[in-house]
Amino acid sequence: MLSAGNDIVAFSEIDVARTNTPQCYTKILSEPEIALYERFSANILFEHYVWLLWSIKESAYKFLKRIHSEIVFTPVKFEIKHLRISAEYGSVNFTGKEVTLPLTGNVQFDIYTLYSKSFIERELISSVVDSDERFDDVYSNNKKINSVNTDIQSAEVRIFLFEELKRLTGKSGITIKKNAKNIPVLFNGQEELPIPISLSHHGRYIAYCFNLKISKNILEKYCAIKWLQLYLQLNSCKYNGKTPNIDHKGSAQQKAARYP
Amino acid sequence: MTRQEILNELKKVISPYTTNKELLAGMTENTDLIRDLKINSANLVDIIIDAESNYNIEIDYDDADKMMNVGSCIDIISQKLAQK
Repeated sequence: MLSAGNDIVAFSEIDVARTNTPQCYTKILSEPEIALYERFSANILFEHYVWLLWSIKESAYKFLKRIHSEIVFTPVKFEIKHLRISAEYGSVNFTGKEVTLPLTGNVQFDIYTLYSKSFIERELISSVVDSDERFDDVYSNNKKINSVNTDIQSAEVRIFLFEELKRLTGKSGITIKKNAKNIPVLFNGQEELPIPISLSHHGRYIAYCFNLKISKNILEKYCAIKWLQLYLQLNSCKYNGKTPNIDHKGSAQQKAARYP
Repeated sequence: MTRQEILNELKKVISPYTTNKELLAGMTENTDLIRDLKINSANLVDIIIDAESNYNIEIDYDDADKMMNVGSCIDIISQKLAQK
């Protein structure tokens, strides 16, 4: 499945006392997920665990909503089946700040299982999901900004994404429009780009996620040669590893061969 | 309570979670909580809990997932009040 889903939760916006009440956490966690906390209680505060799972569930919802617009977000129905403290711990560097706890897992909704990568940082929980466990084509990043105004956050996260796309492609003038189902879509002029994106903001943080996996069908639909060139161009740019949840393996040629 | 009375009460419940006070003042049954009032999805849980306290009702997750616009919120609250 080609889509993108991310979500962030800023600790500054969490009501800790409320989160710890059953009235609140039972609206987010299923009974097995409440029981699963015992395995993580030495590493994660319960309120952080609740919002970590929320961020994974919301990411999965956004990922699937792009494909199935009729889906509604019922947190309890998005079930975290596995959650692990990642072996990548210590190998990542989030824009100079200490990454405290990278986590991987998977989340199930109906017949769909998605993989998740998250981290809990000093002020923030951040999650991304993908249908491919390797996350090879998923690009994401987070940033702290000065404003809590939602309109400014919305503008800032778009600028943040455009800057990264420009850095990768040299292209400027890419825009975002909401489609009829209120899902954000990238455009280059009048042409819709087959790159799914997901945007999030909370507190003073903003985050984006996009997926560069281009399937054969999409290549055919959007002029194969043109998009293969863009794809190779994007992937030939050495990614500088800003985000903790991206592991770019293989050359651009290997990636292109994987999605012929 | 009439639907208009519930709507007026809902404005107070929602108020702490939106900075768009102008849109809140003009809120109708068609107003979308996330798209129009720019309420963060994480705050929807707060709104549900505040509504439960305010009306002394219990909203389970099957009901909660329908509470995306003001009209559907009023539907759920009306049903729960009628069941009391």
